Amino acid sequence: MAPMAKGNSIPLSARLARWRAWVQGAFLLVWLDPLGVRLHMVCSPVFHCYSCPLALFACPIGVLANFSALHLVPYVALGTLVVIGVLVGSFICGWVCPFGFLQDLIGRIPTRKFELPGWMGYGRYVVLASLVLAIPYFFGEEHPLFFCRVCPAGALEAALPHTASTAMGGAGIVWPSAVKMAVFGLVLAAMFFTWRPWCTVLCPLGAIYGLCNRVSFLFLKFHPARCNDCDLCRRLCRYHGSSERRGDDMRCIRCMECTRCSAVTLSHVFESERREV
Amino acid sequence: MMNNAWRWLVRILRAAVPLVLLAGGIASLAYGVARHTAVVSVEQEIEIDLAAPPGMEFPGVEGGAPGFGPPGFEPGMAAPDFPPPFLQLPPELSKVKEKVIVSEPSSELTLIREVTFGGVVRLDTGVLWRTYTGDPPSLCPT
Repeated sequence: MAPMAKGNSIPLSARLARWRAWVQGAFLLVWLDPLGVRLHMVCSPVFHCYSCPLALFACPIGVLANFSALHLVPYVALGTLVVIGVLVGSFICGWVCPFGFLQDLIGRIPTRKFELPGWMGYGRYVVLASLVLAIPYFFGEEHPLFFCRVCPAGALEAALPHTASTAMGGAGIVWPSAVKMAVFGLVLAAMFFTWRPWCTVLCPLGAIYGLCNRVSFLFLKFHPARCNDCDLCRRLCRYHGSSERRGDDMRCIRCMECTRCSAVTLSHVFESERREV
Repeated sequence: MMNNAWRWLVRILRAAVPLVLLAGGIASLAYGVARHTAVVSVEQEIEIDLAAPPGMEFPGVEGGAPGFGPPGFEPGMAAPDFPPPFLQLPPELSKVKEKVIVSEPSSELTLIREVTFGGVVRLDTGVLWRTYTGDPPSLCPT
């Protein structure tokens, strides 16, 4: 039997973690515009393409990229991301994002999973700085590497449904861009062999929320005094977040699985310090 | 009592960075929603009526000095047609359609909605240009 951290009993946060898939499913229903009111002047906090026939809100990354191409400051998108990020950090990734939910579902298919090296997480910042901000700013939205032209969520949620609907409607089929479909194909294939490849390696929204993990009101706290090196938290973490044993790690999606170990707890800034010394 | 106050002060200081960021985020959101606009230009087709507006007449016919008005007109005569019949345009030519560029401020919320279907682009000249007139396109171009 694996050794456990001292005084281990299943806390509320870990019990909640068992309901994560249901919470993700419930939020998916929200993003899929059940009432048919398209509020595309409002940014959602999640990665969900606004060209999806069922998208309720605008995608914040699409708005950032397009405003960068227009040379405008996206106050609404930035404000939305900062407010949500500072309040809960990457809980959005783990509990709310529909594209993350899809990756979680595919990840449950029993195939051998490979752990990606931690440094690959910096790829998200490269994508954010280049494809979302720099390329649109300097080359406009016509550039083939403009983020929306390669976005796998756009391929899945907008390009493929649109192609299918035109095909079924008898109109001439407009094929999606080959680059976009290639990126989607690669990400989809990777979902079978590693947990959340898009989130951990490429997602620019995850990069923003990852940064917010350092300052968010809610955070996961690691208590060194309670740790007896049982390694449980590392084994519970699928996303390389707590492998560094730091609750505010930028790669953490706050699935809260690691809180099954009593050395990691869910906390907030008014309750305790981020780190124990 | 002092201990309690000190504990609260420490808590607030610990939350200072998140609180400042939260305030900044809310301010950014509020500014974007309420105040931020950008000028967007669009080409519109307008109809120009070349017919003289009603009530126009030759200058000077109302008790004007001799020499003003059409040939043969004397002060005190009934006002003649304006313009004279030989200058009046047939109805099919009296209205022309012209394309003009109209620039108007758009709120950020409108711009967010418009970029979701590629409704606004930035031209090389730096002008923000609306890509459609009438009904907006249903999908973004990517």
